[in-house]
Parts: sequence; structure tokens; C-alpha cells
Amino acid sequence: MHNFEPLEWSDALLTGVAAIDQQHHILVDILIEARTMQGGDSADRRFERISRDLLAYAIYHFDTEEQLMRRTGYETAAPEAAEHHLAEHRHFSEEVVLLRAEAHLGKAGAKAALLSFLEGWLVNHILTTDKALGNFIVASTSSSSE
Amino acid sequence: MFNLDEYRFTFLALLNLSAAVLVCYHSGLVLYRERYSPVSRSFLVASLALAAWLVGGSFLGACLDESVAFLWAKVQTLGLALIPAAVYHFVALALATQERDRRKLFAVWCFAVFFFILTLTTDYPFRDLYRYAWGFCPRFGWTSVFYMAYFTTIMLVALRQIFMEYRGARRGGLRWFRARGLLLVLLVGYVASIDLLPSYGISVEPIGGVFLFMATAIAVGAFKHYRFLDVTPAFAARTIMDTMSDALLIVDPEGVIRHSNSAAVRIFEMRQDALDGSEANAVLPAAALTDNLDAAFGAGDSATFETTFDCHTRGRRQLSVCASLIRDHAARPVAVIYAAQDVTERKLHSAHLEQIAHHDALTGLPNRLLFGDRLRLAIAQNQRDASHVAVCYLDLDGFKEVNDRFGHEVGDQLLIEVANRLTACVRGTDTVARLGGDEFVILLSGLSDETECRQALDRLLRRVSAPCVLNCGESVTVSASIGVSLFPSDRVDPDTLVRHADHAMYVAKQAGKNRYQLFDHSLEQRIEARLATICRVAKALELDQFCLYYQPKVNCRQSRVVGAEALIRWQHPTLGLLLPAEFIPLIEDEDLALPVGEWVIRKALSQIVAWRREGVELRISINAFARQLLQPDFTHTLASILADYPGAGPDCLQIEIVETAALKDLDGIRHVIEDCRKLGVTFSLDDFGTGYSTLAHLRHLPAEEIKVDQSFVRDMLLRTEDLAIVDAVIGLGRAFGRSVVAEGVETQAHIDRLLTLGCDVMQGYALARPMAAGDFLRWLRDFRLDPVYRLQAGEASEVGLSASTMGGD
Repeated sequence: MHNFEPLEWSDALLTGVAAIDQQHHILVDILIEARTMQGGDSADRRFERISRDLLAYAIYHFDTEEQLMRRTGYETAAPEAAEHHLAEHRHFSEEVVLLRAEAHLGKAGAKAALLSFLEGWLVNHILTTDKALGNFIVASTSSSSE
Repeated sequence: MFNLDEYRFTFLALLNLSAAVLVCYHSGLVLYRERYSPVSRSFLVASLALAAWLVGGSFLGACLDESVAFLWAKVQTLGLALIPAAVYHFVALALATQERDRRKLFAVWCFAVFFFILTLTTDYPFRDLYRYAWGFCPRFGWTSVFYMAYFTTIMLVALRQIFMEYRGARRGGLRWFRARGLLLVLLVGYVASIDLLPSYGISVEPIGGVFLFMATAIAVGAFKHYRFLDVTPAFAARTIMDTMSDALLIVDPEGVIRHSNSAAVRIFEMRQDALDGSEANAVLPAAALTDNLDAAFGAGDSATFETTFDCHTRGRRQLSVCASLIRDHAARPVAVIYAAQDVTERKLHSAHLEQIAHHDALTGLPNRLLFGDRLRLAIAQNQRDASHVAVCYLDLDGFKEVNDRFGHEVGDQLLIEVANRLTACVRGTDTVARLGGDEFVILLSGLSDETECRQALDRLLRRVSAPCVLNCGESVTVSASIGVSLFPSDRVDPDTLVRHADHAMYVAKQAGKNRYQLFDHSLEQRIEARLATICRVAKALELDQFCLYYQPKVNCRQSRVVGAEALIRWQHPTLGLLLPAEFIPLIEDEDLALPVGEWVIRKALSQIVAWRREGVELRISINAFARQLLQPDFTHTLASILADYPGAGPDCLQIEIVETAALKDLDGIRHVIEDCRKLGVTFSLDDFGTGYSTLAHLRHLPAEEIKVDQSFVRDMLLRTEDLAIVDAVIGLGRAFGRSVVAEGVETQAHIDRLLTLGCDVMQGYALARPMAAGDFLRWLRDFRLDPVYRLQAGEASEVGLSASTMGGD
């Protein structure tokens, strides 16, 4: 599942739902920034801040997505996909918390590995889980507008 | 008639004559003193009429020839004909009723003229002359009744008017004194009419002159004392001219000053005789008198302008001039009146106010208001020449510490120094403004590219962070965190540009200070997301979406539950139950930490009370924010919260503080611990071993309990370094007499090992997960029922996130 290509924003990551895409873009930006600040005097404090942004953004973004899922009836239309989606979200936050704890203890290797994991997770999540949600939302809004 | 041989003056005649002279003298005196007052002129007219009467009377009495005597009798009677009208007119002017009684005045004068002409042209009102003890005297016929009726009526009307004025005036006031004086004058003067009695055959000594003299003397005294005459418009006009603060120049159409007032003398510092007669253009250079005054003034015949005048002694003065064109009845210009006001001080004052309104009082730098203007100008300019504008929001790092340590005066000094450095660091076209506190904002305009901006920022950072020697002799070093927004790459309105720079500054501050951060939109969205999430947390508190979970601390050697750690959870409406590590880091440095922290304490205390009611006596430890503990009044707040829960003994409450958080202000935390211990509250050092120089802190922090960080405990079976740390911390606790708790105990193996190491009290998934209050109680009951507590191997292998700290780090 790990993605070893350098993380980069591209149109391939678009889900078709503008609000979600915008937030994904920011998540990608934060992770890229976290990746670029290995080393240096203030690296720890910057990492602390960025990982905190990541936490905040996770709550913010997942909240948006999950509200959209409820509003559009995704949970009832595709209960299994929805459940899987929610589980992935929980997992992400837990990993960020772990990442922070590791970074706090100065375990640099663990930090890099966890960052790779988060990047891979994000890309996979967007490409599969979120795209499924995006397709559903686009389809349901276009069908309801017809 | 004028041959003195034909007269023989008696004493009385001479007395009357001299009275006439004195009456004239008095009126002349009044006229001289009060040239501009119509009252004094009417007083003169009345006096002349009286004098004519007196002179006529005295020559009549002294005259030997009957035909000449008849002429004098005529003179006397002509004077008499005018007396009532003149007196009435005087009274009207003195009481200022002339406007109201215009018609009455006219009628009175018509009568006077009528009788005057009648007397002049006919023999009316005489019948003949006769001689008595004081010489000749006219005898009046019966038709003189009309004359006398006219005389008496008018004099009575005048008396009545004065009396009404006297009655209407406030006793003791100026009006009252004036009316009383006038009343006295008229009453005394009226006695003089006894001189008319001989004309009706009643022989009395004609001493009326004496009374008239007395009356005029009283009148002069009254004028002098009660300033009768200063209320008249003409007098007022003169007084106003000479007392007004504006310089008044009355200039004729040729441009020559005809008249000036005393203010003009003062303002232009020229003698009045030098001023009058000189060219107006020489005094008021901007007077701009042209041949065509009509064109110069336009409609309205007035103009205002500002000009300067160079004084000999006071230098250049600013004058505000109002010019009015005066025309005669044929609308030809006859004069221009210039009223010039010295507005130098007022201009200085308004410039000062301007300075106050637009500048910071301490540093003299522009304030937010002026900065906003400059920024708008710079943006407008930028749109013309396509250069860049940078808004740099600067906040000093470490200023608060300097202020706290050395006091406000030194702090202010430092701010002034920083202001000077910043100003010296930028070009003259740039603006450095102070927004208040230790926040500055710098406007760099005309930048060719971002590199130029970065160079300027590096320069600013270097200059600010250079050591600064203050007046007190101390050398302090502060640095700056700068947030920068660039126009036009960030094409927003000026206010938003400043806000963006502020956001970027916030990021620079977070990223470790003494640096700058350029604003970008992704950054803003992240900050907005963060702020939005913080708002959600605040909302959660309000909506009661938080709850406390409890994880037991177990003494495994004695198989006894010794306490529980309260851990906050957020029951998020969409995301479900969130762990503290997921949201507490977002608020721990915000003010929101305070109400959340207080909520935790209250909730834990009420739980203690509730469990006590159930017969369960447990010490609950809560996680406090460093920010919360370092509030100056934390101990008081805690005491008052404890007082709200009398059912919970304060010794049942323990406060856990993360070791690294305590390091932020070791002294402060030590004081808080000491103060709170007096309340009975105990402390525990959480995540112990993760900080640097742990040993040194332990000596300084009088906490009863230390908790070995879970990461060491978790890995101690795999990594010998972690095992060594756990062992060391347990040893430290023993050496310093602190009880030791091991967190993150996940398996039976951990428990066994810790017991061997000498650590009895443990917390972790191997014993129990954090549980809601109800579940905890059930667990506790089961635990007690089974004293031979055995771990379930399956439960222990369920490794997850213990998340037993609230601080998260």
C-alpha cells in the first residue's frame, strides 16, 4: 500500500467534489511540508506545528466529508463502503497521534516511516475511498437536479 | 436788546443764568465722554431746551424795558415748548424704548413743533407782561391750559415709564439703579416748574434753575455710575471694534487703510497712526485689491482667504482673513472691511491633534489609521507602475519577558529603540507603524521582486535581534517574528492584506520565532481550518460533548485499586469518540484551555462525590494544562472550585502535569504545586523521563508522584535502553521519596517485570482500558470480588493506543 513516489498534488487526485478536493489539496501540502523539514535546529518545533495542523485538518476535513456522506445518503446507499470509509478516517488520526508521540521521543527513523505511511495512506484513500464517495455524490446531485 | 445797561440782574437772575451755563456744561461733558451715544446727544438737546428756558427767564427778570422783556419771555417759552419732547425723547433712549415708542415720539415732537411755531409767530400763550418783585413776568391767558396740559401730560408719561422700569427691575441691579437715578433726575427737575407759577399770578421766587442744576448734576452722576450710555448700538460698535480679537482694517476703494482697531495694532505690530493711511497691500499681501472690486468679490460681496504675515517679534503668523465689500446707496463700492484672525496657534494645535490621531504616542510612529491610508496609496501607486507592495506584520519575541523582568519603563524604552531601528532599516518611502503592544507593521512599496523583499526582511530581522543596551545598563536581546503578505500576488483588499500578514506572522511565531513567513493561501486555509476546529472544540464544551473516561491505577502487589486517571473524550457528532491526543494539542496553547481545564476539574470532583455516595473512595487524578496552572489566580480558582464540592475531600484530587510542560516555567509550576498542596491537592509528574535533565527537575518539583512514560514501559521488554530508563526512574522515585506509577502496561509480562523492578502501582491496557464512569464502577466491583486478579492473555495482546495523557506530548 505504500506509495514511494514523492507526494505531489495532481489532477489524478480529484474526486469531482470541489469542497473535498480543495481540502485534499491542503492535506497534501501539509504532508509535503512535513516531509521537507527533516533536520535543522527548529525542525522539531516546526514538525510539532505541522503535525498539529495535520490533526486539526483531519478533524476539519473528515468532519466535512462525513457530513457530506450523511447528507447525500451515502451511508444508507452504500453502508459497507461508508463504514470502511469511516474506519479509514479513524485510522489516520490514530497514526498522526502515534507520529507525534514518536517524533516527541526523537525517533527520527520512525518519523520518516510514519510520514511515508501517511502519504501513502492519503493517496490511496483519495484514489479509492474518496473517489467512490465523490462519484456517488456527483451522481446523486446530478440525478437529483435532473 | 443786548445793551447790558438795559438790565438789572437780581441774585436770582444770576443764579438761573449760571444754572443754565452749568446745565450746558454738563451736557457738553456727557457728549464729550460718550461721543457715540445717541443718549448723550438727546441729553444735549434736552439740556439746551432747559438752558433756553433758564436764560430766557433770567434775562426776562433782569430786563428793564418791557418790549425787550417780551422778546425774552418768548425765548423762555420757546425753550419750554421743546422741554417735554426733548425730555421724553431722552427717557425713551435711556430706557431703550425708542423703537417701540416710535409713533409716540413722533407725536410728541409734532406737538412740540406746533407749540414752538405757535409761540414764535403769535402772542400765544401770553396775555401781557407785568412786573413783580423779581422783575417782569408774562401772564398767561386761559388758552395756555392746552399748553400746560401738553407739558404736564408728557412729563407724567415720562415719569410713569421710568417708574415702571424701576418697578420692573430687580432691586439692587444695574437697571434698578439706572431707573432710580432717572426718576430722581426727573422729579428734582420737575420741581423747577414752580417758575411757571408767577405767570398765573402766584407769587413765588423763581428758583427753578437751582433744581434744574441739581437735576442735571444728578443725571451726570447717574451716567457715570450706572453706565447709561454703553448699551447703545453705536457705542457697542466702537467697543466691539476695540475689544474684538480679530484685526479690523477698513480700506477705501483706493486700497488705503482708513481705519484700524486695536487688535490690528497688536497683530500687525504697527502703531495705529502708521497703520491708518498705509497701503492695505503692504500689510495684507494677499488682500488682492484690484481696480475691479466687483469682479474680485463676486456675488455676496464677501471673500475669505488665508495668508501669512511676518511679524517683527513673533515671526511668521498664519492669518485667516474675511473681507467684506461695503457699498453705498447706489451700490458703488465705498470700502472693504478686512477682519483678519491670527490662526497660528490654532493651526499648530490642529496639526498636533492630527499627529495624535495618526501617530503612536510612545514611538511617534504612524498608527494603524495612518498605515491604512499609506497602504491604500501604495496599492494605488502599484497599479500604475506594476511594482510589488509588501505588508510585514512584526511581533517581538521575548518582549513580555523583558517587560516582566525590568518593568514597563524599560519595556517602553525597548519599543522606542526597536521603532528607531526599524525606521533606520527601511527606505524613506516605506512606512513603519506601531499597532500597539509589541506589534509593528511595515509597508515596503516599490519592490521589484520577491528577492528584494526577502533581503529587506533579513535586514530587519538582523537589526532587531542585535543586542540592545538600555538606560538601566542592562543589555537585552529580542527578536522578531514577521509575517508578510505581498501585493499583487495576494490580490485582496488592504485590510485583508494586513490580516494575511498577521496570519503569516502567527505561523512564523509557531515555527520558532526570529524568522519571517510569507503568506500563501494554503497557509491561510490551514489556519482557518485550525481556528474552525478550535471553535468546534469551544462549541463542544458549550454543548456538553465532552466526557471523562477513567483508567484505574492498580497496586499489583497488593491487588488493590489505588486511584483512577480521568481522561477527556470528545463525543464528536460526526467523527464519533475522539481521543484527547487528537484534539487537545489544538487548544493547549489557546485561552480555550482554561475553561476546558476547569470543566475537567469540576467533572472529576462531581464524580468523586458521586462515587463516595456509592461507597467508593478513590483518588482521581486529572490532567491540567501548563497554561491553566500558570494562571496567576489558579490556586484561588481551584480553592473556589473545591468549595463548590464539599462532598469531595481535596485530598481525593490529584493533578497530573506533563514533565515537559512543567519545564516551560519551572519556578512558576513549583510555586503552584506548593500553593496547591496547602489546599490538600497532590501532584503527579506525567510522562516522566521524556524531558531533558529529568533529575534536576525532580529536585525542584515537589510532586508526590511520578509516572514513567508509557513509551519506555511499553518497549522495555524489547529494548534494554528503555528498561534502563524505567529502572532509573523507579530508583529516582525511591531516592526522592516519590511514589512511582508505570503507565502503558500492556501485558502480564510487563506487570511481572515491573514488580521485580520494585514498581507496584501500574496503569495500562493489561489492567483496564479507560472506561466511562458507569463501566468503571462495574469493573471496580468485579475487581474487588476477585482478589486473585489474573490477566486474560487475549485482552493483553490487544495493543492499541493507550492515549493515557491529556497533554498528548
